[in-house]
Amino acid sequence: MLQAHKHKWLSEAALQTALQQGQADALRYVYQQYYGSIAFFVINNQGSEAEAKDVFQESMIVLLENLQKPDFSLQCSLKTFLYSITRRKWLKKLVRNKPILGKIEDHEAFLNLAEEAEEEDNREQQLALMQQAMQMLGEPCSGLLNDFYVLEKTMQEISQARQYTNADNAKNQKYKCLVRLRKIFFTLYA
Amino acid sequence: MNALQQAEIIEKYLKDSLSQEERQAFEAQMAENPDLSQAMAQQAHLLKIFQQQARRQQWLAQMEAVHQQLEQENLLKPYRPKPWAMFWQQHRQTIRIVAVVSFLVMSFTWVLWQSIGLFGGYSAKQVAYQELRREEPSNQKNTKKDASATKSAKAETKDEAQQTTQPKKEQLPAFVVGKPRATAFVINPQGYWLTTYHAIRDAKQLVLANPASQKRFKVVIAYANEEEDVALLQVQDSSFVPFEPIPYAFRTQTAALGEAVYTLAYPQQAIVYGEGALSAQVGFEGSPQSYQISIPVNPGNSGSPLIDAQGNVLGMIQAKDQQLDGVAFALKSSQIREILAQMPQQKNLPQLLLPQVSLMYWLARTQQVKIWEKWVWMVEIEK
Repeated sequence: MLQAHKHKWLSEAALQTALQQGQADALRYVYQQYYGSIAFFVINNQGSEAEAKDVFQESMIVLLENLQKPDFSLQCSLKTFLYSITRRKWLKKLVRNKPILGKIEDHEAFLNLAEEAEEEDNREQQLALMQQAMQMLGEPCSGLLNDFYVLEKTMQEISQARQYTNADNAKNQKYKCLVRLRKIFFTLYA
Repeated sequence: MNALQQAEIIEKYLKDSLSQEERQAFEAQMAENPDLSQAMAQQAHLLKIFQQQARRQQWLAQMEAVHQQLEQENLLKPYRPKPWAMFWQQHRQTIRIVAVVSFLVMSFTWVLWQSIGLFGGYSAKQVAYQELRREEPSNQKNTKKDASATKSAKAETKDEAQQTTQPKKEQLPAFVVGKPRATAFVINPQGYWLTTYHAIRDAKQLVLANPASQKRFKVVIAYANEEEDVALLQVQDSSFVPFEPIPYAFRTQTAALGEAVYTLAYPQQAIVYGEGALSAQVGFEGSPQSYQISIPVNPGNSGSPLIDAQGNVLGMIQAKDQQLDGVAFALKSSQIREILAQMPQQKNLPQLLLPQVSLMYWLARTQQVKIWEKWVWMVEIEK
């Protein structure tokens, strides 16, 4: 399996393009290639397996999000990028939870990401708030909004699937949910 | 306009699906009502964050699935970094500094040493001083070329063996190509030759050959002086008959600068003549025991005599300068005399008298060479 993947993308650039296009086997390949060595950083620095997995997945998301940006170009290998993001994320968590004991042990080269960090942290905070707001919003509102704004279903489909009397009714319901979400989110945010 | 209608019109505005009049009206309203424009901005931001968050959830779900799958297929192996990678990452700063510092210290030490000449001389000697023993390559070409010589040599030894009446006839090995080679010359008619020590230091068996007189003798090392690079060879062969008196002398006076000199040697099967001039009265790095001469010499010239215009021995060729062409070094005859005089009295070595009578001074160079040919011998070294 691994060997087959190795020959599939001839370069890191090709692999990046595949990731950007959301090819599932590219994601799987990157995951398998780098999970071990990057999770090791967390485990080796006072982290558990579960924490390692979470941080690695968050870093993968940062990579995927960055790849979506049109002006983004990676100046290092995927591995170094993932390691650097994971490293920063994990150190931040460590500092928040408990004093760092001893020395941080690195086994890879990494980039210093302090500059991009602040903006990114702010955004992450908002995303976390959004998650919280969606939970507070609850069903059926969250599902309705998801269907419309993310899955991009038509009001017709939604009203049928969610058993509204008609599309207009569903639309009204949607705007109600949106207004509620806005209220919750900006209350939390303020 | 209630909140729902407001949300709807904002959404349409953001999606750019309002008609031109509607849009202008809405923008006019926003300009009047800051609350409306803030609501618009909030909604835009909200949707952006909402969509980003939703996409994250999708990716997370996808990755979770990948993780489960890989775990089931046992493809997420526990990782151990290579120890050197850990070590390098943790100590690379230190390692870099240590490398730079040690480099500086070493360069500094080297420069210092060079300037006070502690090992400068030695290392220079290693580089520039080339001993002149010939290491003959044993390839097919040479074998063929030398085949005739081998045959004739065999014939000679047989003839000799038939002529001599001794009961035990030792068969000498014939000319063998591929053996290292050097030159030696006679210093006593009772069967003593002089050569360089470096040429014969690892020899198991030594044979001297002289094509001019068609003779071959087994010899042994009677005395070796590694420091001065001198070896005395003594005949050990039943067929040896003492030579006639030696027709050349060992020069006692130091040679003059610019004096014409020549050598005879066996860098190959045939004897080779080379001529030049005495270029310095000191040898390599100012050594007072040697002369520097400008003369073409080659590997195989080791142990060949340095001959002056009168046909007398000025010294013995030992080495050449590796970096300068045509610069050779020869041990002075006076030094040879001293070395042999100080030679420890051992075994059955007689008091060696160096030849003192010059018989060739009145001869032309070619005639001198003709005579000299009989006294310069090829050393065949069996390792």
